[in-house]
Amino acid sequence: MTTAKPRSTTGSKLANSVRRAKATPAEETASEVKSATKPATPEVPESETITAMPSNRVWPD
Amino acid sequence: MSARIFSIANQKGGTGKTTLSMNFAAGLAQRGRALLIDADPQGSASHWSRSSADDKPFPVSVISVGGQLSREVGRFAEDYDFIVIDCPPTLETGVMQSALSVSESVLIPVLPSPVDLWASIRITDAIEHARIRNRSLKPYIVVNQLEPRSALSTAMKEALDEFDIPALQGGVRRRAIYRNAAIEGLSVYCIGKRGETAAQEIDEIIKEIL
Ligand SMILES: Nc1ncnc2c1ncn2[C@@H]1O[C@H](COP(=O)(O)OP(=O)(O)O)[C@@H](O)[C@H]1O
Ligand SMILES: [Mg+2]
Repeated sequence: MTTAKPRSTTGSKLANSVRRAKATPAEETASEVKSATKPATPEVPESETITAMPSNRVWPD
Repeated sequence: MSARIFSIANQKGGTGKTTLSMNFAAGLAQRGRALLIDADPQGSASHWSRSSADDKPFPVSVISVGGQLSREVGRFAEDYDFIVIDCPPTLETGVMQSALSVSESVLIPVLPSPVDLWASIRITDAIEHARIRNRSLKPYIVVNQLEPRSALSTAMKEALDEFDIPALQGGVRRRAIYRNAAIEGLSVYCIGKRGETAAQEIDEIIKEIL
């Protein structure tokens, strides 16, 4: 699946490079996704609360 | 009616998440009540909305949410027709995953440059993962900062096939007005004639998504 398509040189070069990037750091990404979906730990940092920005403004309806 | 929820995400920084979020939300605000959730600790969307003049506020309310994103979205879902979540540029905090888990669609801005494409490709894993729980999540790539006459912008079509995510027909061109709108704390919809063409291209995106 790594054969370049003859159509557009830039396009197929770019596509090939993306394909390589996709194939490369699979383990790294897997661990990233895993940590991203880890259940929220009990200690929620203070910033993890909602703060209405002082500038909140809505158009009058 | 519960809000329709859209995430704007890419773990790569600088691809146009905030710019798209602000203008997309402003376009949605012309169709219903819209809320923008700034889920990026950098707070760019909040800064943007605070940059407006008092007599011409940004037309969408912007709130900043750190963790507990899905709970906060739930709190607002009944009060709005649309919620747009500007995601942080990382997969590591779980915020993006939360956003994806509550969204009907995710717009992924990517730049027409190899380095950006390489760094953006990992979003496909995050989406695949989110779809385990949110099976109806619809991802769309939005090419941003398009320069129609450049060879790279043309070459994007072939390269984007590798993402296995459909790209919207409408992209976003590179235009100074997007930056100027940020300076003025406005969207391209309410910046007068200067913003018209840009507003049209954002409208095309909205029509494709809704
Ligand atoms: N279509 C565009 N035309 C011109 N400048 C843009 C465009 N989209 C984004 N920018 C600029 O590119 C930079 C990164 O955009 P931003 O929306 O902050 O990305 P992100 O939120 O993904 O980090 C900003 O300086 C922004 O003004
Ligand atoms: Mg941003």
